[in-house]
Amino acid sequence: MNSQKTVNKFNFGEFYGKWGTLLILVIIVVLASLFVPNFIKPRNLSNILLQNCVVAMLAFGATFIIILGHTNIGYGSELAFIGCIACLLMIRLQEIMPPAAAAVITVISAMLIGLGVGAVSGYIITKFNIPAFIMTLAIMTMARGGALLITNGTPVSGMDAAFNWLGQGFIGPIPTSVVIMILLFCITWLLLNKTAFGRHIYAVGGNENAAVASGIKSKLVIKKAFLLDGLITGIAAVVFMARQASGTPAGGLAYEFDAITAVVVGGTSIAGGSGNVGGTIIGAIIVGIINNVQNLLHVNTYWQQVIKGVVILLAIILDVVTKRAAEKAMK
Amino acid sequence: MRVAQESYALEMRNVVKVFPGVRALDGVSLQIRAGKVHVICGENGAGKSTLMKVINGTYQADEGEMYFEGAQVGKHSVQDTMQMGIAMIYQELNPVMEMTIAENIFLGREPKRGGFMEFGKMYSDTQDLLNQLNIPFDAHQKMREISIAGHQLVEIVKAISMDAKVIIMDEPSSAIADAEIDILFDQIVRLKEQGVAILYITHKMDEIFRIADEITVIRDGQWIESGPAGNYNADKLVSRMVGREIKNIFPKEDIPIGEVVMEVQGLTQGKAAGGRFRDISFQLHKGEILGFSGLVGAGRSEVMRALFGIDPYTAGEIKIDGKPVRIRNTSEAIASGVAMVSEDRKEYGLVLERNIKENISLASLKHFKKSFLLDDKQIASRSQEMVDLLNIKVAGLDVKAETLSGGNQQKVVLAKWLIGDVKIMILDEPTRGIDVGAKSEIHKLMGKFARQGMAVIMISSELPEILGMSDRVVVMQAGRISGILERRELTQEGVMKLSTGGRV
Repeated sequence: MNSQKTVNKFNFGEFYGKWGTLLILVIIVVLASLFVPNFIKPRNLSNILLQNCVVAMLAFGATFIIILGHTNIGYGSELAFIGCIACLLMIRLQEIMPPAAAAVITVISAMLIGLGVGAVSGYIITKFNIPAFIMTLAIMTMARGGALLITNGTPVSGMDAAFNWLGQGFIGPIPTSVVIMILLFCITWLLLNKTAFGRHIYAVGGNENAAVASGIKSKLVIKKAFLLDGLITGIAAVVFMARQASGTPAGGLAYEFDAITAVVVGGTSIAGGSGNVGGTIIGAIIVGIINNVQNLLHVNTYWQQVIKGVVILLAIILDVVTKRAAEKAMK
Repeated sequence: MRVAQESYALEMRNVVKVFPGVRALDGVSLQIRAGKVHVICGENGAGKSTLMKVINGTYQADEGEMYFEGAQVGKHSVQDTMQMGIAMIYQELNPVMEMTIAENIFLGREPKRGGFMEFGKMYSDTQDLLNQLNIPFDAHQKMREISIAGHQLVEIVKAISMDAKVIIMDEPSSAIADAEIDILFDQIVRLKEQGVAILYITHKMDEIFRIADEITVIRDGQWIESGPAGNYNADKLVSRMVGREIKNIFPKEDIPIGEVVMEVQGLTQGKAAGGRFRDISFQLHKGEILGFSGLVGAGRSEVMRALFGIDPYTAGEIKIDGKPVRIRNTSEAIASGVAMVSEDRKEYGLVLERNIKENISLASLKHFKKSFLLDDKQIASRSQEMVDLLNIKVAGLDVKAETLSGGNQQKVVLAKWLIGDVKIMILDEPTRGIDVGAKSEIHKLMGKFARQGMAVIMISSELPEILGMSDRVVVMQAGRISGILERRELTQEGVMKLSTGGRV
């Protein structure tokens, strides 16, 4: 009511929605530079970026899912499952063909498996109207089991340098994994902001009924988002294993948590309908810095877990509180 | 002047309520007598709902006084006013559908003994109240089994059960059809006889003159005038509300009717798919406004939802421009040139937290593609054209849809379809909950659509609107068409008779 008169007034909720994440990043960086020894050194900063590439990639996919109002909690196990298959495949292929060709085929295969996992999730979620949380909980368990099965529970190693280059190499001065991450960022940003698919994601997440009444096939949109999410997970899995030069079936533990935290800290609402990958990349960096700072300060790893939990809780409370403040200011 | 000279049931003096940037109430006074119906009139945004919320304690007034039965009431909460005997029946009810009538009535104040529920007492007390008020429900019925009008009645029973002396009703009839309103009004008469004061908000003229004893008009948060209902007629009241004379409430234009655009033959929804309508046949012409009348629950919206592909139909044929089409989902309907503006614009019309241009372009994004990316500039310029054409009052295209008033939101939904290629526009209760000024603008727009050769279907539960705007009227009753009336044979009685199956 009488909204026109209040539109131009300063609104903390709106301001926070736009610039809050960046503000938090700046504050954290300033505080860390002042009080944490070695933080501001270039070597440490590039480490943060490297260590969080995989989480950032996963978080890009997660942004789509969370804007839709769903959640995927299977990333960590999917990393292990797809990554281990990729490693095993690479080891076979590099014996029968040039390593570069083997690496290309391996990456494509990992992407296809990722698509497959996303297809299964998306199909079952939309067909049977199952909450994505439960569906991906099942996937999480199955994928972890699958990873342990195919590797007999022991890490796989011996991949050619062509494969490991994806996680450890450089393109010019920039690490390959960072290049891949930035590429994925650009693609997902374009998809979300500049295509009809992106608009459909926001519409379905914001109000599925209204989206359907506008001629949008909401189930198809959800399926496409899970496909994209799976594809990105496939790529991330290869980078993840290549970085450590071994396929670890028990690896990737709690990566889903870091990815979701990055998305939420990045300002995407868990209620769906709003958010952006621009926020997510900043969110991923924030999560990375928090982990890094704790390591530099030699915080006990058990405590680190506790603190992580507190961080996501704070981010969610902040999201709800600012949203409520914005609504109040509107009335 | 310290004590009210007559003992009013409720009196408000010079109430001021300020929200950031807005004086929502600016010196409003009100005197309400026991046993009378006092209607508050005003456009949307005039401050009616704010006033009600100040009275019942949802909001705290910044200035002004409130007297209840002659005694001044200080700062008060919703719980305080409930204890005093002021009950509020909200515009949109939220009953717990899976609970029984009795459980809903005693929600939060369940009769208990020794920590255990006294179900027997709860049900017998409820049944006594229902019988006493002559409401034909069983206390054990679940809320989802009864109609929306029934939910209103249950709210009234709840108010009575709390010994309410003042009952505030915020547009109680907005969700129920004309015939069911009688049930509600019978109850209001009965409440008056028992000395209950009723504070009633409505947009509907005919209702005002049916039940009002006294009328207060507010405009832009200010008290305009109060007086006995006998001093007013519809024209005078509307002009006081908007501050200007509206000569013709229904600007129906004479537009030549063209050829048949849509032909529906024997459309039926089988039991398994919901079974809400049977054997629906009608024709729709170019330039025509076809009214759909009937009671709530007669199946009007369900037929339209099927034509628009939201709900399925199991038998029958739809022809558009002479060609048979099968509509299985909304995108097929849109591809055939059918658009629908739902009665529930917040649920089916808008993505509230997205901005105006995203909402306007949502249904026609495929027209705005440059290779595979969207052409933002074109979206913005076309959206701006729509905003100008429909006279949508917004601060900019980047404003979220949820910040708009009801009338402007409705125009955004219309804009969403106008920006694409629409041949058949289905409007389900297009002016529900919209203030008088915006209402007549939307009526004018309907005429404009028709003149441009669009065919318009309009569902409305307001008889004056149906009679005022339609070229022909299809009347539905219990899932079937009970009659189709030409404009020249339209009367309120005729439509009503067909709606109720002749048993008026």
